[in-house]
Amino acid sequence: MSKRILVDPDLCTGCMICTQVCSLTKNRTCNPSRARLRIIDWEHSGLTVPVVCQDCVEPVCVACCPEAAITQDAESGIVLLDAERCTSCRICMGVCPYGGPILDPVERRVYLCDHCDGSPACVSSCPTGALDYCELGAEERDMRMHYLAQVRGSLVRLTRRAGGGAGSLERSEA
Amino acid sequence: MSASQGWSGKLLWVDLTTGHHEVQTLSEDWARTYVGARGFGIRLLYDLTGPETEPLGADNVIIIAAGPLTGTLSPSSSRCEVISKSPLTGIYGRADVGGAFGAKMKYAGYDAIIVRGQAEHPTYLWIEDEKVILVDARHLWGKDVWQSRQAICDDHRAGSNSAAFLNSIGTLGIGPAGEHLSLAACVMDGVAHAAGLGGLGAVWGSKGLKAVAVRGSRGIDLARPEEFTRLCQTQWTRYQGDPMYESTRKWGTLGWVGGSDSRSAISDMMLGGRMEGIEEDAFVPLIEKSRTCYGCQIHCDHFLHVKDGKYKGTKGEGVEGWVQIQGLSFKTPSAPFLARYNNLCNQLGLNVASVGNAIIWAMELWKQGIIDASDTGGVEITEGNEEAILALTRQIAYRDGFGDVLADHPVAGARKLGRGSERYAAHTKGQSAWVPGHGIGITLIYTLSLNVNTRGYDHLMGGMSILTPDLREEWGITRELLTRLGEQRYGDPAIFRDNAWSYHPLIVQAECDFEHMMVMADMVGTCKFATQYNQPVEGIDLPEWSDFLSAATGEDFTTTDLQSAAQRTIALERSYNAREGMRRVDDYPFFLWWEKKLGEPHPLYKTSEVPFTLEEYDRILDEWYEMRGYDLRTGIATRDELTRCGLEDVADDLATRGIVLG
Repeated sequence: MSKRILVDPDLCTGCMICTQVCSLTKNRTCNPSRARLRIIDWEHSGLTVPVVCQDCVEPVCVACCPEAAITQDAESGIVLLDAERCTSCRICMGVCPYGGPILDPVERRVYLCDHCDGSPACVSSCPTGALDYCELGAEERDMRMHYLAQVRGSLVRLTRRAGGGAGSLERSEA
Repeated sequence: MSASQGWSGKLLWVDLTTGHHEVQTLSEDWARTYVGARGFGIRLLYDLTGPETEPLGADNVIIIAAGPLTGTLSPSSSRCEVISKSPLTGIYGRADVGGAFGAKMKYAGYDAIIVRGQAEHPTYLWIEDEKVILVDARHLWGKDVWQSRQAICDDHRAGSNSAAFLNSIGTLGIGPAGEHLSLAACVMDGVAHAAGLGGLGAVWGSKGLKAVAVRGSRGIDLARPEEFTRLCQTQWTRYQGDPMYESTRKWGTLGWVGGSDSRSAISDMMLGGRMEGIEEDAFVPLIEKSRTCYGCQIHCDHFLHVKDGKYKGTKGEGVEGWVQIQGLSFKTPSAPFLARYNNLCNQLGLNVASVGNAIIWAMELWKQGIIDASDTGGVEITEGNEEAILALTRQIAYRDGFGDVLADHPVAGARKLGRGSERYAAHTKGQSAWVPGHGIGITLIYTLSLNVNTRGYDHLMGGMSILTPDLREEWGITRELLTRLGEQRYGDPAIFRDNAWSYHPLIVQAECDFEHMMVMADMVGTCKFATQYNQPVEGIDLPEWSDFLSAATGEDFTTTDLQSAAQRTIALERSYNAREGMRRVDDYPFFLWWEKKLGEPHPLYKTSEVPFTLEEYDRILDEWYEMRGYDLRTGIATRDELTRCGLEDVADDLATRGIVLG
């Protein structure tokens, strides 16, 4: 089992530093709307949820990608997107229950978090420990299930919205 | 050459009268000279307004300006400035705010937005990168700040999820207080961050501008992104070594009030006397989690939730130590009540400090028998009356009943009421001060700083409150540490260790250095909590900013450049005020101002009862003027000083208007 990005929304203050660092690392610019993770903030309820690819055990994006551009590494289980093959059709964005794939509004291309080759910049700069990068033991699995339930119950489905900006997450009451 | 790294590179000019807008390229020279935010703001305000400008007329301007570090990864850099000629003080009106607006404005490509004219009907400004439109806001007029932000979101989200779309837009706007031209009105960023002082919300109301909303996808380009990221990481690590860092992260300003002796010293500072009934950690049961402004690793803010009792269901953020101190003055220290009161101010778009000062004034008048129920429409303004406080807060926003007097606190309100009420309406340059404190701080230098402030009474000019012995002893600001810092920085072990009511020959030098740091924070867009204002050992100061700015903009900024830029900003602000008639007398604490202005001692507050003499204050003020290059008699920047600052045009302008420059 390899490492996963573990999210604890209770510790997230909504500072957006992770998204700034991500865009600086991946795009050499400070532009959170291009980051490969998001923070969804319900400002009237105090709920702040970082949203990033969860490397699902059975990733629906892999199954749905018409170009076979998304694959799951057999050994590590990490879900990867091959930018060469990806046509940015955004089907993965529509089917992902966790808001993993993002649309870069500048390049108009779809991206997935790639763990920065084993050392995610977002995790190392998170000031509160709301993001962690670790192998999942029993406790971490429980936490992850709790997080996923929260995400599923309260957000989620990244829709294909033509407009630029920060993309959007569809609330699914189901 | 245009400035487009660090800076976004464009200024947006909007005319509400004609409905036109124009985009101006930010020139490199101008950007370098005035740096950003507060520096841009005062230069534009000086050029666009003057003594002939009616603050609530079409000629006044609204300037929203961010700094070159705003919205970047630089620590705690979310700040932007909201600047107009103030309808409250009639002078330079400036308020700055964290939240997320400044960052989002820059992501859309603008360093500043300048709004002129007056709209025919309520209007809001919608900006999405290059798209700039004025939208009819008649459906928003009358709505509170929270409803109005949501309604703007609903106008544009076109089927997108509400929370996610809300996250992507920044809003600055007013509530009913600004619409009703209450001088306690602020401009709210999002739902809980306020550009508070100066009554600037009323300027927005007078122009019919309900809000500015912005959504940006362009981001900010940096000259040397890897170096910039490294500098940020180094600074984050450095903070871990500061004695104030963890406590600030845990408590924010709420921790300044608490129960132990050293923490309640803050109430000395604010109130001029120690308060009874401080409940240590009163807010702890309500805190659900820490919250933060954009890009801030400190997260001093808290999300509160009242789960039971009379105020059950109150949820919101932004309660500051100020509010807790007000609770002590009101004799209503209950945290659930204060959470409700704070939310009410945020929703109505009221500056909580102005409201609190006005109500404390009214309570004093009630106690003295100067007003009674026949003045207040039956509201009993007695200490501890929570209902009365909430009722008055609403009245201040809508200028209802007695609220019409309180909305003009301190100067115009007292004038309207008469009956000697002005004796209790403490202020400096028209900006209200806490009544019991009357503009006096914890130390001599802090008192100076409160009163020479260019926007009137306020603690954020300088003051070095963190470098005061015995104030935050339990948080690690020990006498030993102050001794060490004094030795390191000024070669004098006593300068901070003995910083109190006695005079120290180096203290004014230290204060001026401190002021440069405070002003530069407002110019680059960094929160003062990330600076040595609150992190006295490892906080950011000019040398760190020169590195950050150089890596961000590609321009070479030295510490000396930044010092000159801060000095230029202060001189320009003082000149703006001089043009509006401010003189030396306006740099004194309230009771001394009274004595000097009216030629008679203040009837309630005796010079003999304060811990310093008039001579001591005079001397330190003289020395501050001398250090800054201002005329001792008038307090106005001399021609030499203005020339040093590259402000010859300002010197000429003042001279043309018959203002004598030393």
